[in-house]
Amino acid sequence: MKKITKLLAVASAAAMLLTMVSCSSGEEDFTAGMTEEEKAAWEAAANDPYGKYPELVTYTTGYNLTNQGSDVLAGTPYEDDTTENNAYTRYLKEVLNVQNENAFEAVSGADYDQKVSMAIASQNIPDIMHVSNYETLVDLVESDLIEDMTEIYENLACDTVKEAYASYGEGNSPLDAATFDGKLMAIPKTQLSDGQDFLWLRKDWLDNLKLEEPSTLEEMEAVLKAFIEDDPDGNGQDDTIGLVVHSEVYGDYPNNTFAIDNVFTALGAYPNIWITDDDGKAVYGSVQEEMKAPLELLNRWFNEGIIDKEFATRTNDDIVGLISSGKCGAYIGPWWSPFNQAQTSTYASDDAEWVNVSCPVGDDGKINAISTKSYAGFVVVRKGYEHPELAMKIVNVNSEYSKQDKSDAAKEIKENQTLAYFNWPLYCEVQPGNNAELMTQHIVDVMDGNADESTLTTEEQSYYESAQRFLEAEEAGKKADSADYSQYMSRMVSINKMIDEPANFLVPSFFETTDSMGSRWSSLEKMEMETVLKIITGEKDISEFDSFVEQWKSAGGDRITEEVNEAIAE
Amino acid sequence: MSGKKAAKAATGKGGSKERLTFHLMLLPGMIMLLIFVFIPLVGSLMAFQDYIPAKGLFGSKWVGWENFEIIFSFPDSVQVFWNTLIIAFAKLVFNTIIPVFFSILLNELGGRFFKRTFQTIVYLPHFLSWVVLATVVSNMFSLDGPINAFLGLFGVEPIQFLADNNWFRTVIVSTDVWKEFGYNSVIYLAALLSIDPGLYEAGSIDGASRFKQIMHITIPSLMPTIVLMVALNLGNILNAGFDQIFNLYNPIVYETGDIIDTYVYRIGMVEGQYSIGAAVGLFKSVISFALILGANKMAKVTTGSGIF
Repeated sequence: MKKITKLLAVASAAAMLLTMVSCSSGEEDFTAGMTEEEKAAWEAAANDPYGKYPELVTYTTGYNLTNQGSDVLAGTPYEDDTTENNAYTRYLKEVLNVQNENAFEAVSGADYDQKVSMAIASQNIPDIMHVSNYETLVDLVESDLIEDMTEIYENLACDTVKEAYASYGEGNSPLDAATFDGKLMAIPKTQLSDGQDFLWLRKDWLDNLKLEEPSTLEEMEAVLKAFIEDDPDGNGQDDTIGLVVHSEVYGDYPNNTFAIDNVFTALGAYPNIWITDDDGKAVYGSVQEEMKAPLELLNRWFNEGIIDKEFATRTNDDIVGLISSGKCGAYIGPWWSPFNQAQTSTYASDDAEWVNVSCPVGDDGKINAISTKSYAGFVVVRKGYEHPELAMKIVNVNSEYSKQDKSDAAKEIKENQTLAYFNWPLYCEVQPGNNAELMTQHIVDVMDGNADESTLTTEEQSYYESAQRFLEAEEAGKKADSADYSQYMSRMVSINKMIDEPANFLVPSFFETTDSMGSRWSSLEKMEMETVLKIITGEKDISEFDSFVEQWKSAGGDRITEEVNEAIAE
Repeated sequence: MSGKKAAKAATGKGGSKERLTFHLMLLPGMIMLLIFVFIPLVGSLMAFQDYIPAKGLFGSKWVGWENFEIIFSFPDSVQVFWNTLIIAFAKLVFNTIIPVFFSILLNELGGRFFKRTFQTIVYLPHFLSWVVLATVVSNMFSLDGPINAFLGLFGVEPIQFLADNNWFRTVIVSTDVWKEFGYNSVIYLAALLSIDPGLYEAGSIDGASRFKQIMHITIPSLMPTIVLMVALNLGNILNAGFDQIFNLYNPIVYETGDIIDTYVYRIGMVEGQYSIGAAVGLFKSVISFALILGANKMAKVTTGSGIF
């Protein structure tokens, strides 16, 4: 593996030398030689959020291919579509009179990022492109390769886009991440909020044992104890375990299904993120005093078998296996947990009923959750590109115009949405953080008869139909298709609970990495994981936590904390 | 005349035409070596840089020994180094003793059919990948697995072998020996066949028992092979078995189980710290190189023949 990396490095270095020779061209005034009238027409188009250009404008870009596979369009009317001529590019041409020309194409993720890196290394970036991570954006800003978007955003961003950014709240706005020295250097793509984690329980087990849904830590403990000791599956055998736990215990909230961050946050500890302390300084959550209480609790739970004794050596598949085979009926996971095989398999084979519960809650009766990053990439414009506003206009069309458009032109992209949703030549949609909840509300309105089905967007429509199929099957006393089960449980049951029982969200004070973090972080994380696991499993006493904190600080933790605070101050 | 010519060709001193044929046969291997070993060596330069993929190998900043200083300032780097040495050394010892022992036992057995069958059976695990075997091993050693069930018969409390620093290395070494001893014994079995039967005959006439024959004929005859194998393997002493440990370890046993390769993997690949990863890798290569030279010298002194 190492050799491959090295080979890649050499190959990219060689490619870099070659491309260095061809340098990017400077700025040209495209209006030269135009009549006043023509100039005015161009001007008007440039200053209208959805203005159509008088003549076809071509822009070069980096094209994000999806890993859906090239055959998703096979057999459809769109099978001859290409990355420069498909439903989306035709639509943009129709609406804005623009056409993409791909400087490179690559599958989203590492492949695409590498192409971007090479483009930056050769100082020759496409006119408009999407970059997926913050470090790359910083790199572009520092190398002075991209255009300042401040004014363009102010003048051209449509209301939907502006409101969507605002929905993330002060302090977590995606725009902050793209702002350098007061200048907006990119249009951030939004990352939808993933909401809070829930405690997922086997409802049928609760009913067998005549238990209430738990809410506090104590109630949670009582239910888990009953799940172990009182034979919840009624098979007369002592074969059930308590709560399954991810082998990394916490982190990457709320995406790590089976991680138990909620147990920590219920007791006021926020591991694995940067939080703001009482003095307004950023500190690392895992090394705070608050960690001791949950660690001691988990140690007791471990000794009493309330959490799975073998969690440290379990893989994800092992955990799914425990739940699928009916040995475990409790885990912590996000709203989309019903898509996990752990649930679908028990639904299909076992008559299991699952329920998501807001538990364990903090002092105020709500789950303490952690906000996710609000951005998921950036659209940047090459410095000197003659139509910089074009990027903003395409984002407007992606995020708003295309969704409202009922004309024939939009029909194609609606049909494509379910086929190849990510085929936009510039993959950037700006959505409000609670978009998942909004969609569920729209569907509920239709289901309750308060709105007409035609008000649903294409995406909502497909969830609505799924829910209908699920309910019909259940009513007929049959098992629904497991895909419909997952959609219904996630979109309708679980998100509804998210709306009804909102959580407290803590916004981490820092999401990115600093210089020293690069070289030292993995070593510090290793130290942290080792200590946490040893304390929980009882190999070390809770007093070990203090010496860990000391060691963590001296091994670079203090220096990184300083750097984080400096970075925030900037 | 023709005899001379043949001898010349065999020693590589034939006409240029003949030599050309041999060189051509060597060429594909050399090209592979060039592409996959020598060209990537350039990447070792990363160890002395603050390597940024976007800037490439020639654009990144040179930082001298800084990466090495960072590595040795990590509290866990010493631990990782010792873990590697301990695990690799234990594997080297047991992967030598057990196959020798096994091949002598097998050699003493009568019955060609039985011998062959047995050899084939113990040979099998070698061909399974650790990715597959790790699942088997972790099930065997889990709390409700067969090993704990067996120990339970003697009243032993269940042990979490793979999450216990007192046991982890033992499990790693013993499962590795279990997987490899059949394969490793092949070369010793071949060496046993080449021992002059006259020696045994003479031994038995002189009244040596089977055991005495093994001690005074078999083992001394095997000695050059054993030394050669150990010398060859010494170069690998810092390879404690990435795929095995990577598939079996977890943070609780980092203390006893984290080795250089798993460490480099986490730093270099997971965290994207190419420079630090390359520095650790280079450090490891230098030590391995010194060990090979040393081992070769040792082999030459003790048995009179080395690898080069």
